[in-house]
Amino acid sequence: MIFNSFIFIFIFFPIAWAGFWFLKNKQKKYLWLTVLGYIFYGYWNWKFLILMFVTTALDFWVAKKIGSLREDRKKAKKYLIMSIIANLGALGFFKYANFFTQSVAGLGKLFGLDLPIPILNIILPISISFYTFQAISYTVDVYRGKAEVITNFFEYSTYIALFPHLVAGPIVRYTHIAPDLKNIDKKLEPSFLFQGLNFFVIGLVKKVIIADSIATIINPMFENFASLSSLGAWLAVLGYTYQLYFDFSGYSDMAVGLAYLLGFRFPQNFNSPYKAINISDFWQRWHISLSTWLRDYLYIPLGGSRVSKPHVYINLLITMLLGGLWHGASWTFIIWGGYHGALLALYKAFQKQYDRIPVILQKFLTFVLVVIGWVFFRSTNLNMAINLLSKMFMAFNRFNIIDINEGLLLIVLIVVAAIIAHFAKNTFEIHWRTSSIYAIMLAIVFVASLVFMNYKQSVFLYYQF
Amino acid sequence: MRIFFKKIWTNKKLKFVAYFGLFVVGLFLLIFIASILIDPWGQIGTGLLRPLVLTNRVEKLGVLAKKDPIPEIIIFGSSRVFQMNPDLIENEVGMKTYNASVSYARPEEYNAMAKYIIEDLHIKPNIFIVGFNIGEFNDDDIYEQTVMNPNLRKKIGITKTRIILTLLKIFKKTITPQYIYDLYRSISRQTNENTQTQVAFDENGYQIFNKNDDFFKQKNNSARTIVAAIDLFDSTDEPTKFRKMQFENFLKFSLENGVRVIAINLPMPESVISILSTSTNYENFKKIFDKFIVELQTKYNFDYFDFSLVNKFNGYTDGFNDSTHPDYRNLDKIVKNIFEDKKLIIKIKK
Repeated sequence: MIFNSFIFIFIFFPIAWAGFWFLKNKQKKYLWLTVLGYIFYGYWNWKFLILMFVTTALDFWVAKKIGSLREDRKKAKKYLIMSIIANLGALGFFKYANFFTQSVAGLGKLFGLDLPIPILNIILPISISFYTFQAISYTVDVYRGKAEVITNFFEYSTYIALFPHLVAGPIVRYTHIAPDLKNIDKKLEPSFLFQGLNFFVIGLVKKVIIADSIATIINPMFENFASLSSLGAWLAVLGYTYQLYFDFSGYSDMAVGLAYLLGFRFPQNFNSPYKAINISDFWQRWHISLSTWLRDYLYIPLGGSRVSKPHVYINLLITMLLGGLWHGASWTFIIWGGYHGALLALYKAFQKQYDRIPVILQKFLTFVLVVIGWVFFRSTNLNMAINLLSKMFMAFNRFNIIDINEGLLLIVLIVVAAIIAHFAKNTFEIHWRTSSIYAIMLAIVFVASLVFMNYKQSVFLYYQF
Repeated sequence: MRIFFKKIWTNKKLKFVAYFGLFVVGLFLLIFIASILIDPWGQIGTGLLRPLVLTNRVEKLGVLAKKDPIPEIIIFGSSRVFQMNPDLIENEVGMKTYNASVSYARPEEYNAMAKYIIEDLHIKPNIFIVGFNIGEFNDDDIYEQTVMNPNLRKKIGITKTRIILTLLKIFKKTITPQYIYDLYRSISRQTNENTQTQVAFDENGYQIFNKNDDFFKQKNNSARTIVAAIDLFDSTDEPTKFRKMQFENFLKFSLENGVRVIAINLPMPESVISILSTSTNYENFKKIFDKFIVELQTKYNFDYFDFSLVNKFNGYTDGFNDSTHPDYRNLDKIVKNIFEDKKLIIKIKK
């Protein structure tokens, strides 16, 4: 089920919301949210509910064990490793098995070996990357003593299966929502209702009106990338730059809004990333829940910045390579991750010199570098990425991309999206007004979004991860 | 209750939420009411304003009502007989012919249209020709334009619940940014814009099309549109009771009113039938349908031509617009084949 669907907006969520606030008992509320999470997830493919349930039960049990072994760190560590292996094992099998075997077969071919490696018919369970990272963060935090052990299974299953963050994040750590989970039986606060509504509607507008309108024009361009001109390639890639931002940040806003409506506070996932002044700043603003996860559970354990300079660069590279791989089992994602790792390392190495550049140039440079990275992110294979990049930077040719009206519409959409992304306040910065005029405006954009949604419903880009 | 409202009204944030909710409901109502009153695409059948697009049902029945002289032969069917030539039939038989085929027609359409033509328009032809693909006896919903057409729905007993559900379905399907713009266009251009039709027809209801159009020249149309053929058969293994009943009612009504019926099972390309035979229960569907026709023929005196394959009427193997639509060449062949039988013409003229 997706947030931008009529079944979600008019049936699933109203029932979920009314039922949640009707129930008064903590345990019943946990149970209700768990069941809803499983329905929400099972609507896509019920068979994978078993996988989610098994990993949930295992992590719950492991965390309890770790909690009971506070004095015996060695044994606790064994349990932690078991949990990490189980989670990463599931993730690795479903997401990377084919990629790995095919890469080995490809490598074999390079050396003249025809390895009989079969292609496994594996369906990637949606959201597995999100909920496994969430589960790992919980067991690690329990091991580190940063999170308390959850003793109520349904509290834990609610944390994992909470539908607002279930399929595409944000990757919410237990410590983020523990206070709200513990006080799940609190009364509905008008400010939560108010905030939730604003976040949800603005997220819907971002996704349905901005991102999907851009997607309608650029998707055919990417399908026929070989026939794009230089200008066409730039327009398509710039279009994608804003589509991805409005799509994913729109989704995150909707998730935050839905969480508010159920009495939970989710952390900010996007903080105007295209306003970043350097690549490090960008990663503190883009998909914050993932970048902080990578920082806390990968980069710092690798040694972080407390080691020698070359070691720091290697740590950055490893972290970002794995971050790229997290997005998908493809060389384009790995290169995208490596590219960002290299940019971060370069920034670390030349920070003093870079910071002397005027801020406006820093912003421009950072943005261009990010846009180049999106070419790999969007391309389905390396050939496509190279072709697009060569068109953008080398092979200048005439404007022959698309119908002129569509081209103009795309330019208008890019300009509007750019103004919002580069200059406007983000949803967490806005001071939401309570005036009736604003309520009417919000109602108008909400209905407009539904009308747009009726025209075309598309899944969120980050569902694939 | 009063305390509840007071609580909302005294809290700024709750008041905001209340305003938002009321306005959303208000805007929806506004769109729904405007859609019903303006009906820019002519789907709801309100008829207060001239729609931007005429639907086949409204257009064809409207033309038929004004026909002079009154046609003696009327063709029913779906878009599969849009290109059945009434002038050719007139040449063969010497009777004025009108093609009343409408898109997505199913047996309930022939039934409703026959009743409307005879009972309400007081037109009594000699012959009804019905061309169909047997897949039209499947379990698809009754087409929205039939449910929303007040002249037709009363003839087949459409319930109020179905009308409301269909209306909601239309809203769900059509309320898009373009539709909202068309609401505006429909009002603003009432006086100066000609109404368009979805498909153009001549005065005898024959589809106006360019025989040299690229679309008709494409060789692989049948393969490209195989999904449409599968869609006709994949939801049910046999003709549905409802559609069989509607067809029988149509035959019965025609017989009672002295109108002869010529029913034609239209062809599909052989390649399509072989795909249908493996991917759907087409063979079973056809067997049950044939049995049903035999039963009907003993009860009602009507002529049935099973032209499900082109070799049955010496047709063109490539004479198809797509996987289920015979083109004008095959339809011409069918007409000639039927009326080559002089005995039939004599029977008709009697």
